[in-house]
Formats: sequence, C-alpha cells, structure tokens
Amino acid sequence: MKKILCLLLCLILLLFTGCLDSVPLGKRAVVRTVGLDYENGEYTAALQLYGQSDSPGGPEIITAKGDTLAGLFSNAAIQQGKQLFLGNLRLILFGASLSAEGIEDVLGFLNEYHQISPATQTAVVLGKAGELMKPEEDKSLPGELLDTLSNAQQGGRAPLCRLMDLIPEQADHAAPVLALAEGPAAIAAGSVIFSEGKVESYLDPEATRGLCWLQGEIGGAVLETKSPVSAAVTRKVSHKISPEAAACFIQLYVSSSLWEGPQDTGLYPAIAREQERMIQQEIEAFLDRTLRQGLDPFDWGSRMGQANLAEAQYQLSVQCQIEEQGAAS
Amino acid sequence: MERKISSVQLALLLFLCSLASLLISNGSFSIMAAFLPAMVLVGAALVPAFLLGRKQGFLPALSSWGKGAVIPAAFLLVMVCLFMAAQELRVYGFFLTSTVYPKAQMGIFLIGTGIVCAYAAGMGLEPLARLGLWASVFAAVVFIAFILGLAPSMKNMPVFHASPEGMSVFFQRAFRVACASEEALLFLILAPRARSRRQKGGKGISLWLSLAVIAAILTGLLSEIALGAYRETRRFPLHTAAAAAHFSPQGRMDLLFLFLYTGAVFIKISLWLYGGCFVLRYLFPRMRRGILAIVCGTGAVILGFLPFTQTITNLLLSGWMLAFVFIGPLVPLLFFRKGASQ
Amino acid sequence: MDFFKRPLASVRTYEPPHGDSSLQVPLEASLADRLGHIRDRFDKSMDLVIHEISVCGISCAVLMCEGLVSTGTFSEILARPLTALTMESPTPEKIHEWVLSDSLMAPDQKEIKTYFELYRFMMSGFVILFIDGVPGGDAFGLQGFPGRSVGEPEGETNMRGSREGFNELLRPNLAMIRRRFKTPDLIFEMITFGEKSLTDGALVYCRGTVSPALLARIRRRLSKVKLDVALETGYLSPFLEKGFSLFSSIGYTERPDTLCAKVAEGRVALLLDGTPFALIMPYLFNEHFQSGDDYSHRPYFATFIRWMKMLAFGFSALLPGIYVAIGTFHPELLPDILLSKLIESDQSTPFSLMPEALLVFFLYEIMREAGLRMPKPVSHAVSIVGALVIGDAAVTAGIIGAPMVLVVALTAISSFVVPTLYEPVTILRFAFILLGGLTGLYGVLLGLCAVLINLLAVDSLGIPAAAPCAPFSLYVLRDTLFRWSWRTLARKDLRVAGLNGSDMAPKRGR
Repeated sequence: MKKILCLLLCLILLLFTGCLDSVPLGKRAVVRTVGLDYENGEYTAALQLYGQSDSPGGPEIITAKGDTLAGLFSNAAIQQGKQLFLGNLRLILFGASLSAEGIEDVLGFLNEYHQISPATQTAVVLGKAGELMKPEEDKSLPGELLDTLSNAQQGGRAPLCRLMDLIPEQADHAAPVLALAEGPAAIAAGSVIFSEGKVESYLDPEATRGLCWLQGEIGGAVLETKSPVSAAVTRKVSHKISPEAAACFIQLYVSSSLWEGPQDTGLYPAIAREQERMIQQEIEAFLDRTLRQGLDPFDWGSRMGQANLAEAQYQLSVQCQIEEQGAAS
Repeated sequence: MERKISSVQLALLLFLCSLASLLISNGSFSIMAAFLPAMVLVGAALVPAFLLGRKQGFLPALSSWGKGAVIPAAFLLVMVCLFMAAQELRVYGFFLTSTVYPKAQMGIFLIGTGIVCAYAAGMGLEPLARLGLWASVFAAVVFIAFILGLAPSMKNMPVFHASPEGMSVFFQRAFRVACASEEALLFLILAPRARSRRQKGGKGISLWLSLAVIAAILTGLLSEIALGAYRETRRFPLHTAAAAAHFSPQGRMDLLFLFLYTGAVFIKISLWLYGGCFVLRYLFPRMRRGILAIVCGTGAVILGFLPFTQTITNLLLSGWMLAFVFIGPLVPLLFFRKGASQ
Repeated sequence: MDFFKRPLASVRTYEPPHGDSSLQVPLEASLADRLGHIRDRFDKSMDLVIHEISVCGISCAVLMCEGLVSTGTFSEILARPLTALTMESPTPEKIHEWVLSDSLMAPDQKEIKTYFELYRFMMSGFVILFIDGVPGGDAFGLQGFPGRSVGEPEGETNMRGSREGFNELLRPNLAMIRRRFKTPDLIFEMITFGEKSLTDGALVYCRGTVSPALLARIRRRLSKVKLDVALETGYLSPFLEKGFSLFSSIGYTERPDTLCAKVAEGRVALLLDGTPFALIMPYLFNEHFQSGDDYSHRPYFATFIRWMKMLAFGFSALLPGIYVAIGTFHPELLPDILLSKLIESDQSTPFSLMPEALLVFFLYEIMREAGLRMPKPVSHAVSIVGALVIGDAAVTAGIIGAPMVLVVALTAISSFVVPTLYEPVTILRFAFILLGGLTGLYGVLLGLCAVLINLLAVDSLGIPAAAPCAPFSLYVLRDTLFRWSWRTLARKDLRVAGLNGSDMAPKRGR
C-alpha cells in the first residue's frame, strides 16, 4: 500500500511539469541597468543586459519604446526574442524630462514589479538617460555607471538613493545626478530633490556634499584646503541632529587623515579650521537650497512640528580633527 | 504507541506557528508592541486549558459526558483544524504567487504543501517536535542575520512610539491580536500529548508567549528600520526588508526569509493537520494514523480552494476561538463527573 | 543504571532455522547404515571423503568435506592417535569413552546425534568420527579452508589507528574482538541463518551495558528471518528495521576497533560468516560523520573534520538541486559576475539546467559503477574516458556547460566524504534536481522538510536515529557536533539506550 502511495506521489510530481513558469537562463534577457525617458507622451528605455562580457562592443544595450511601461518592456522582450528579467537590476536612471514630468507612475510600476529589489540604486540624468548609457557612435562608453555612482557616494559627491527611498506620497527625498562628461566617463553632477514625485530642486556639487554630510554616508571623502594646501581623507564622520520646535541643532564631528600637506603638525589646527569652514559652507549651501526653501529630504518637519521649515533656525556646529598623517593602507 | 513530547517542545512548536503569522504581517512597531498585552491576555485565557491539560485533555474530559457530548465537539474541532490549515495554505500560496512565482497557479502550492504536511502529520507529533527546536534555532540565526544586515540602516533609526494613537486604541488592538491567536486552540488540542511535570507545563506556555512577543517586536522593529515609510506600501514588509538587507555581497536575504517562512508554515499546517487527526481518533479509534492524515490533508486542500474558507477563519479569529479556548475547558473542569468512564 | 542488570535469561530466546525436517533423524548405531544413507544423500557430489578404518579391531569411519579440513592438523591430532590406540578388551563403547574423556584431539569437539548436525558440522570443516555400534558420532573442529588474511578495510581507512579489518571467517573475527575487549561480560551469542545455507552468525554485546529490552527486540526481529541463504549481513538489515526511511538505523563496519567502541556504548553487533561487514544496532545518524580517526586526533581538528563532513553531505545532496532551482527560477540570487558566466554558458548549450543536471549525474553514476565492477588493470582507462567524456569533450562540444561540470565534480567529491550515506544521498540528489527544476526553491524546501521529518521519525529499535540532536541532549552533543577532549568524554560513558527519546531510557520521577 505504501509503495503504491509513493508511486502515486511521484506521478503527481510529474503533473507539476509546466505548471510553474520556468525559463532557461539562456532564454532570459537579464537586465542590469535601465535608463528611462519620457517624451511626447511616449516612454523610451535603454536596457543594459548581462552576459556577453567579452564581446568586442562591451555589454549589450537595447532600446525600446512604448506608450506605457508595461508596453515598453513587452516590446523590449519581443525585440530581443527573450523574456526580460529584472531580478538583477542594479541601477535605474531617470532622464531629466521624465523627472520633471513626474516619476510617480514609474515608481508605482517598478514597486509592483516583484522581481526588482527595493534596494536598487536610482539616479537622475542631466539630459537623456538613453544617451548616457549608449552615447553616439563617435563617443566612448561611459564605463560602469554603478561603480561611478558608488565611488561618488563614498566621496560624498552623490547621495544614496534606492528605489524604496522614493515614495511620492511621503517626504521629499534626494537622488544623485549623473551626467556625461567630455572624457569617456560619466560624472556625478550633484543631486536633485524629489517632491511628490517631481524634481523640485537641483543641488550643485557643493550643496550635494552638504547633504551627504548630514546623510552620514561619507567614508573616505577628500577634504582639500587652500590655505594651507592640503588633502585629507575622512576616517570617521558622526553627526547629531536635534530638531526642536523652533530650531534645529546640527553638530558634526569629522576626523580625517592627512594625505598631502605640511609635515609640521603645528599647522594641523589651521587645516582643521579650514576644513570646518569648508564643510559649514557646504551644509549652508544645502540648507539654502532645501530646508530654507521648504523642502524636507530628512523628514525633520514631523519632529520639529513646524509646517514652514523655511522660518526655522538652523544652528550648525562643525568640529574637525586631523588624527594622523599618511595614506591609509 | 506514540510517546509524549516535552512541554518545551510544545512551546517551541507553538512559537513557530506564531512566527508563521508574524513573518508576513504588515504591522508596524506600534501594532507589534500590542503583542505584549495580547499574549498576557492569551495566557490568562489558557489557564483553564492548562489546568485541564495537566490532568487530561479536553476531549477525554468531555467524554465523561458520553458520546453525545464528545462527537459533536470532536467534529467541530476537526473542522476548525481543517479550516485553519486550509487558510494557512491559502496564505502561503498567496505569498508565493505574490512575491516569488507571480505567474504560477496557487493550486500547485496548495496541493504540494498539503501533501507534504499531511505526510508530516501522519508521521506523528514526535518528529515535528524534534524538528521544532532546530527550526527555532534557525529562526534565531536568521533574525540575527537580519539585524546584522540592517545594521547600516540603524543610524537613522526613527523614534518609536508604542501607542501613538493613545492607550485605548492600543488595548483594543491588543485584544484583536489576542483574538487572532489561533495557537491557543492548538494548545488546547495538543496539551494531552505533552508531558506535564508540575510547573514545567506553565514554563512551557510562558516560553511560547515570551518568544512570540519578542518575535513580534523584532519583526515590527526590523521592517520599520529597514523600510521606514516605504513599509506602508508593501504587502509583506519583512520580506521586502530581507530583500533590501546588505548582509551578503548581492544584498539579498529573501532566500533566508523564504527558508524560514516555509519551515514555519510547514510546521504550522502539519500541526493543524495532526490536531485534526488526533481529534478524529476519538471518532474513529481503530483507524490508522496514516489514513487519518490523508483524510485531513485532502480536506484541508479542498477547503483551501474554496473562497469562503477565509470568511470562516476570520469569523473564528474575531473572538470565537479565544472564547472557546477559555470557556470550553471550564465545562469539564467545573462539571466533571467523577467515576465516569473516559 | 540498575535497569540494565535484569537477568538476561528472562528475555526471549532466538530459534535457529531447522533446515530440512527429513534430516532431523537420529544417526543409527550400524556404521554401514549410516554410511549408506550419507552416500545416497550426497549422490554424485565429489567433495565427500569417507575413510573406513579399524581402531583396536573395531570398525570406524572418518568423514570430512574435501578442502575444508587442515590435512596436516588432521594427521597430527586425529589420525595418528587413533591409529596408534591400543586397548585391552576394546569395545565400541570403550573407544567412544576414550574419545570423549581420555583424549584431547581438537580444541572444538562436539557430539552429534542427528543427520542435520552431521551435515552441518561436516560442511563447516569438522571431521566426523563414526564408531560401529555407537549411535551418533563425534565432530572435531580441524578447519583448514582458505580465507583472506587480515588486512586494512578499503572502505574504512584511517590515518591513525588499527590497520586490521574483518575478513570472511567468523571465528578469527570474533578472536579480533575478544582480543580488544578482555572482559567475560562480552558475550558472543551464536546464531544461524538460512534454511539451506545454515550460515553461522554471532550476536556480540556486553552484558551489563546493553539494554535487555534492546536485545530482546533484536532477537524477536531476527527470529522472523526466513531466508534460504544468508550470504551477507545486508540480507538481514530489512528484518531488523521497521518502516520505510531513506536513512537506515542499522549501520555496518569492517573494523574490529569500531565495533568494540560501539558495543561498549550498549549496542549490539551482528557478525556473519562469509562477510567482513558486521552490523551495528542501533546506528545513529550523527555516527555517519564520525570515524575512528576522530578519537585519535586533537579535538579541534576532529571537530573541524566533522563539520566538514556535514557540510559535504549537505553539498552532495542539495547543491545540484539548489543550483538548478536558482538558475531556473531565481537568478536574482546569483552574484553579477557568476550570473554573466552562467548566462553565457547556458546560451551555448542545448539543454536547460534540469535535464543537463540529470544527464550529467546519470553519466557520472554509470562511470562510477563501471569503475567499481571493472577489473583493476582496466579501471585506469575508465577514469581517463570519464574525464575526457564528461570533463572535456562534452563541454567542448557544447552538450553541457562548464559550471555544471564544476557542480558535478564538487558534488561527487563531497559524496565520497561520507560513503555510508552514499545510497540515500544519490537518490536525494536526483529527487532534489527534479524538484528544483520543476518547482524551484519552493519544491526543494518542501522536499527538505519531508526528508527531515522522515529522518526524525526513524527509531526502528526504539532509539531515535537523530538523537542526540533531536530529541536534544546537551551533554551528549559533546561527541556529536563537537568532539570534546577525552578528559570530558571519559567523565560519563554514553549508553545509547539512555538517550533522550529512547523508550528504553529509565523514566524520571514526576
């Protein structure tokens, strides 16, 4: 009796064949990076695919169009002859026009697409996302965009922004901006602040760095001073932010390691003061472009209990210290 | 003859049942914090069942009133067990078709899971109890991994409020959570299968309730820390948080989550099916356990396909189940006929 | 542990096979009648040797099976004294009395009463002496049949420890055990299997250590063995187990030191004439990851080796299935670079991952079996062909992908780390590949749950096979997940019947 039951179970297993949608790996077009643009009522996308890493032209990039995002991806799949797979998507780029138009619908689609990890990095492109990923024939490819972004984030040149951070119904959030440089590389060109799904403000690199100081993601930023001339790399950054009812107290502590500069340790305090002045300037630039304009990327408003952040006082205190000299191993 | 399991083993099994619900709940920290008073309430409701379990089970006690009392009660309990198992199958199938296999039919998961859980129920309570300890250890390891993976996000931890809407709302929420605690009924059914040694039975219940509270608070905390406001847009926040955790180089721990959730669901459904088999034994004492397991498994799978299963389970978990857990054992305890055959 | 000291006489006794009932006839007093019956029974069989001699004027006969007796020992110990015997007024009874009481012609000497006993002893290498006028006969143990010498068992090699292993002869095997376990409490209980083969076997246990209930259970199950021939201990395993499980609760060993260690823990061993593999009952699952080496090495290294074996077991059973599942249904779990490689590989092969895996593992099993059965001089050719066919030609031709070859290689090597689990692992591997290919990680996980429940339910001799991990026993884990120092291990001896979950453990007070 037991043997008959076991046999029946094995036969039932065979019935499972084809019930789950299995697609061979070779029949999948696994997407690494997506660049989305929106013009004239139509979405366009450039999709960088995995595989063929040794091919002469580099990784394969396909483009597709569609009136809706679902239509766009469907067209891309038909064009490629393979089923698109977004489970390994690492970077989503929003073109400038799409960002200005509003990314609420795009975010809704991407969040409902179960394959996409909520930790997928996002960035805005100055210009067209497709052009950044696949520039014209006489220009070189921009290299590995994700590495560029990652290095910029470490250096405090771009904020961390994941798909899960962009929630249109919730608070404002900052996203990094990428642009195509003259050379064969993309560069981090500041950041933008999204508010209700649309770009509300552009932050230049100085203000972006101010944002990064407060976001606390910097671990290896280069601090260059002019008098005296020096270059130090941050080792530890800690901040304490206390939003109160009428004021917000911001205390920042930065310790760094001097890589280039005077050997005389007596000059370290001067360098530190110069660093403090520079950081304060960057943070002030950030505050001027965001909180004092009513934008709230860190959701301080709920704790300050103040609807108009522009009228609040921001007390800033920065303390820098050079702990040692020499490049870290 | 089946050997009895220890009270600690029973406690861990019930904890894993609670975990199966907690892992896919979308409650925030403030909702999960209500678990503490909820579990206190459940513990209080279990006092009669605990007292009855130390002497004999609910059905053996009720059988002193004759077959006219025990048959309808047993039949009712069997149906409840099958409905709860079927509902859990549906929830599990829904999770898989929402997150992992979006194009699959839910029926495959109902049938596949039902078969394996019926097999486990047919093997008896002992193997499940033996698996329970190691499944609990695995759960602890996974939670530690989640904490480590989400540690980088903890720099920006928001301030948590256990009861932002006020205490009355908090306690109402706690009451609703207590009513939804289906494991209380499982305890009532499985208590005779546990060795009760003086105060160790009470320690077992305390262990289960404490672990459930800790797990509830952790799940609420972790999903809030990882996702922040994003949590409210997700159907399964902890699964989303696991997918976003930065523990491994590729940054995804949803495989670990799937392992843990599947294990917890497997134990939960198997326990419900075993409970059904155990109760059916009172109606058909000569029937082999394997046959009973097949019957219960088939019944649960069929009920899983029916849409009204959710309605019935919602009704049961709106307070009726907890009321039965509290009042049911009081009847034989207070009106037990001495000298009557069992 | 007073419950172990119940008198063993109260337990059920084993009933040996009776063989052909027509042979249970007593041996006649007339020599001619006896020899006539024997010659008729043996018919044309040429290995029956009968010498009719006269001892002190009394007709006698010496019978033996050719090739089973040591002729030198026979001549020296039996033939010479018999032929040189002188006696005043000899009678058959006097000669018989002299043989029984006044002579010592063989260390193993028995009286036989029936034809059944006659044939059994004669075919076990005994020399039979008939005296005309005396019913029955005498059997003298002068065995001299050829047997394999004691050498290191190929399937259980140790870096450190004894190099002796069992061979096919029962009595020398018992001698090896007795030499290592010098206590009168070590009992060899003789037992016979096979209605026709009448194969000698021996239950080995240590009185005072073994649980009487365990012994009774084993005897009861052995009494149900109804086989014509019992040539290997594997024939008896199914009778000793209850229920169906992929994992056996009966183990085996070829090493006398391992057997002694197991018997010292309260287990029962079963040796059978004709096979070097001794059964160990019960056998816990965690013992598959133990070896004799463990107890000679330093504890940290022994612990490391155990963990490595457990990991290897996990790899060998689950790696192909998980690889197929992730590659087919969940590629988002793969690192980027690995994913690129797999995509390139998959694009150039005609099969998807599941049929590719099934094909490669099937080929591997064919190669392995061929290498096992093939004569040694040719086995080198098999390994070369295997390497070329699977490793090179198939990949170059694009039939299978290089990542799959890597998975197969890792799985194959891992499966030989724990050879005693090779059978269940092979079946599980194929099952998990199917599950992974058809249903992805969901199927693999559910399959794993089912296998775990199956393993945890195994307790065919009343002792859970998954003990002491499940049911959990903290102290006993000192020799399971870890191997503590001998100073710790020596504090309290392990008794398998006393493990958590055993129905032979003494009940604690309530």
